[in-house]
Amino acid sequence: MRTLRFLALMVAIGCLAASSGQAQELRLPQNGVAGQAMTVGTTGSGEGTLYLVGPGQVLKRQVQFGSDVQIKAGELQSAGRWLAILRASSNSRSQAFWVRPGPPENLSFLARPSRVPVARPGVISGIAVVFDGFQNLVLSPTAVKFSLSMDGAGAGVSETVASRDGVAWVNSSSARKAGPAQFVATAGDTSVRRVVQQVASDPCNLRMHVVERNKNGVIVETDPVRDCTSNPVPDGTIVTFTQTDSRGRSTVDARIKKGIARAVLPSADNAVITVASGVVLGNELHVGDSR
Amino acid sequence: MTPSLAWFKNAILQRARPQTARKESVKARQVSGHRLQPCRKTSKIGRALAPVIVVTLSLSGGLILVEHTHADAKPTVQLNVDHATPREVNDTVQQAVIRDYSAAWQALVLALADNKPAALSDNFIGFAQDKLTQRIKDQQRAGLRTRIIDRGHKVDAVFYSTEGATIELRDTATLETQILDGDTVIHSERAQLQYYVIMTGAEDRWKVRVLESGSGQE
Repeated sequence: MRTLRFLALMVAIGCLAASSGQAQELRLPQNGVAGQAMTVGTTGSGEGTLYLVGPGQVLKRQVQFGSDVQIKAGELQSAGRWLAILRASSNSRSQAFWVRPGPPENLSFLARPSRVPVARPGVISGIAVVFDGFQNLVLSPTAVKFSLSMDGAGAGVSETVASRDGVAWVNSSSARKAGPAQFVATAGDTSVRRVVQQVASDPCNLRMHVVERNKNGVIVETDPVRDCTSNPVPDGTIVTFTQTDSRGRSTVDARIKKGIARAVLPSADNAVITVASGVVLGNELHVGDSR
Repeated sequence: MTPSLAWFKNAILQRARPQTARKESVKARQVSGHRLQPCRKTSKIGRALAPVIVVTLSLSGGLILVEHTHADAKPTVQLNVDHATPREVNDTVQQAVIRDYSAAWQALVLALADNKPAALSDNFIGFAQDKLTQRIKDQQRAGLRTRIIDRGHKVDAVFYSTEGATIELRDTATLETQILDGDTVIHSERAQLQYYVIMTGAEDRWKVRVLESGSGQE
């Protein structure tokens, strides 16, 4: 029984010692900004260790209680919720504090798609994520200017959007002219440029004619293949020629070469030839009769 | 034989002998001049405390097991997509985001507990991965570890891009966090924290590109 009393006394003394060790207090910055110098104040006497545990960083300092701990500019880089833990012998005290992101200095700009057909409404998407100089997401609204213009074409489309929760976005239509477009996002002094290749859309007014007809067959070729805004459809695009006669159907897939697709179809006395590219149908020719 | 040597010999013999032979060793100790009374008291206290120690050890073992179970289990994620703009989040994407965000937190918990940045690579990318890797390196240098018990996430999708490759989430997470210096817990808390998360579609999953703690409620 005496021993138990002794143990209880020891526990009580331990508790008292622990509570007396809590005399060390922390004074933390209320409006800390990532990357800026700050001061962590301590009270009490003796020596210990200060841990600053942040979202993307941990700092450790040996401290003399009663003195201030200086955090140099650029040292504390992570914005968000930090924990300051003060440790002296077996005791520790902790407190949370917040560090705000710095001013916008970086943009992460996603421009999609990288290749897009001309004259399509709302097909280009630009997303800008606003960061400070230490890759912290800037949550306060920031004006981001998006501009899309063709090389040397001066006039383009431009729109300014305020970021929300760190993200600003815009949808834009592709231009009527094929070629590389400069898609630029700007926030403050920071600009990020992406190139969106605008390519001709589907063929428009697809037309063909007979170039030659002999005993070996019928040679047909298209007029220069263009889209609806007169951009030449890229070489390599497949054009399908189909000939239907009394013997059945013959199909030839030809690639556009120098703007024109050409095919040799079997000789026939009375046949109908059609042309198509993708979902676009062209004109129809009748060969081998009086029509 | 000096008294200390005699006591040492008896102690060894006592361990080797069965319970019935203990009285003899007590006698031997009396002969060698050691005080018997405190030894008896200590053994009484020891016997009295034995069940307490056993219970404590099994409880702590149980706790360790529970913690491991928590670390191994995927945290629960409740996703609300009602406020997502400009594109509606379809069911398939919702399921994928829930699966991958939960996996990301599971990996984060493991990486911070064991100081293993490699655990992050399947679920994190870009700035989020860079920052967490730096945190783990700093933890290693400072001799710290962070143990998190993840009590779940209430997540709102606030942005889903038109082309479907980027999603932004606002997460209210309930976390129990312990920071350990070696094996000593130097900080312990349960807090509800808000996170801003940007995930982008990768090869076969959504990966966390930005994980930023916003001002949340304590």
